[in-house]
Amino acid sequence: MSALDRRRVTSLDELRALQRAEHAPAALRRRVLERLAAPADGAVAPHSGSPSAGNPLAGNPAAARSALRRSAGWFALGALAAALPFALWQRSEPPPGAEPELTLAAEPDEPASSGFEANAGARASRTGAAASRSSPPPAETAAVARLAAPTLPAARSSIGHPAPDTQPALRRDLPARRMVLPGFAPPARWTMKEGPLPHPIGPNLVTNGDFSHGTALWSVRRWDDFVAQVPSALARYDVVEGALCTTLPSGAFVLGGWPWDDRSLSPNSFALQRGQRYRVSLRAWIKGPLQVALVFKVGHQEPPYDAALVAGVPVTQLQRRFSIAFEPHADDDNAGVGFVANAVADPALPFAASDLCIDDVTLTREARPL
Amino acid sequence: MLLSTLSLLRCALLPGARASSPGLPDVSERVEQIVRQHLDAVWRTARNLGVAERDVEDVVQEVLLVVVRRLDDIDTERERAFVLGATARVAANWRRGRRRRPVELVESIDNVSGAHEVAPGRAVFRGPEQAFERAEKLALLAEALDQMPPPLRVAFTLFELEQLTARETSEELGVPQSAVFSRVRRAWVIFRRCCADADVALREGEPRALTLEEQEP
Repeated sequence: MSALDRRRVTSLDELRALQRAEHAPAALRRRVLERLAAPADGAVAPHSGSPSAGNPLAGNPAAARSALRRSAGWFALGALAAALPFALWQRSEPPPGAEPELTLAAEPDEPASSGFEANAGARASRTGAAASRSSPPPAETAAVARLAAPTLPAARSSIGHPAPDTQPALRRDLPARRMVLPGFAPPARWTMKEGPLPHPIGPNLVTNGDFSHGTALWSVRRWDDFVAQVPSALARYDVVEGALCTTLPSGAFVLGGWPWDDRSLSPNSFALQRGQRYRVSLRAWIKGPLQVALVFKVGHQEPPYDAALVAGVPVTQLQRRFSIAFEPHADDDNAGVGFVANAVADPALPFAASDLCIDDVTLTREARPL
Repeated sequence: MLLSTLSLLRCALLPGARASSPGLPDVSERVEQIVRQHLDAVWRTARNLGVAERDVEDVVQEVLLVVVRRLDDIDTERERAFVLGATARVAANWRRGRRRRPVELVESIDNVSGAHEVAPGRAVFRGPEQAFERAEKLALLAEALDQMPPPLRVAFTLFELEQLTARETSEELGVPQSAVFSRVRRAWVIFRRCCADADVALREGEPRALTLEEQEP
């Protein structure tokens, strides 16, 4: 059989053998081994648990170059996006350096009819320059409050009151998304308090909560099909200026979380102890004309997605840090954090979109207040 | 953005900028062993999964970082499956990231099949005719892989090319074994069609995906 004839017949075994005859470039092998041989630089803590414990880009110029390319691309996109609607969101740009800190606390004495978001809007109007824009119109308030209302709050509120008995029974067969959707929202009883945060105990349990490693371990998916158990398509999201930002067209729902599908990138879960007090904290804000309802959740990562905390976060155009204290009902050895966001549709702005940004997500233990 | 960029640059240029972590277990020995054993497979799998040549090194480094982080979780008997599964996930991340980045149209000359090193003693290509034959066959495989949708491509790569078992493939991909078989079967349809389009006869037994039955432990 001639060489020409041999070329016309092949098999997968032959192709596999041909592939395996190729080796990684010697330069790559050398660089990897050199990196491993430098313990002062290359010792990455297994299960470090802290986003600052090891930067995978350190000493990795190739990865850094790739990240820089991504950053440059997003920088250009961000500049373009900022130039087009500049006149629109310039009015709502927060003053430099302003970052009021808000603590969400359950208030059982609040009237049941006062929704969390309504309270949030009223109080936010006294806190920031964007007050008039951050409070949604009355027609939207109900929808926002319905979505943003905490559906399955922690066993205890941040001030130690037990959760009301009027909470709906935990639907163990429902995925996380349905737990935070409208229809499961009891009357909200949340208010906000401003003030310093108590000192945390121990490290941040959320890896890459400051997005210093880009979007690693985080992803955001579109959730337009409410029948689907799992969101399908990825939403538009990326790390912009150090924060995880996702673009929400009018009326769009997204589900974001840590981790979502990168369960190999460790550490990908943390443990919650029953009776231990925790505090979840994040900075969140929106850029754009549409109001965004944000529901944040801490709970089991897999079915039945038991929730330790579900809370609406009154996000506005003002960059603020929100913190919520909670105590889980039960131990959970595989917990994560997630969020659902909805850009409230505005008939006057059918083609508008808003960016929701979150940053500095932390979950820490803390001592019970005396 | 600027601060973030500068931070990345600082970390890249000043490896010592990151604080060392005293008291950590010495993991370098086992990691080095894994690197030596599986680096080729990681590199090969990344390319088979469509990672652009210019980004293959980034993907390989990222996989090895995953290995370092998850070292305690890696069963010694499942090292290869774990590493290849991590490669598939990192490559999927790369693919998602690529959709958000402009694509560079200039491809590396290294992408020309046959330009990579061949281990001494592993294969000897005696002349240009054989080299051409080899390059053509590898190009056929690459073309077939390119035509497969990502789920099929990953399943075909792990199961057929890297020859993980169906159980390992399903565990690494997080799908049932029946889904693995289904994806590999559909990938075979595409592979056969590509061979037919290229007028290449495919000498095959029964496709592994159709015949292999995983034994319960």
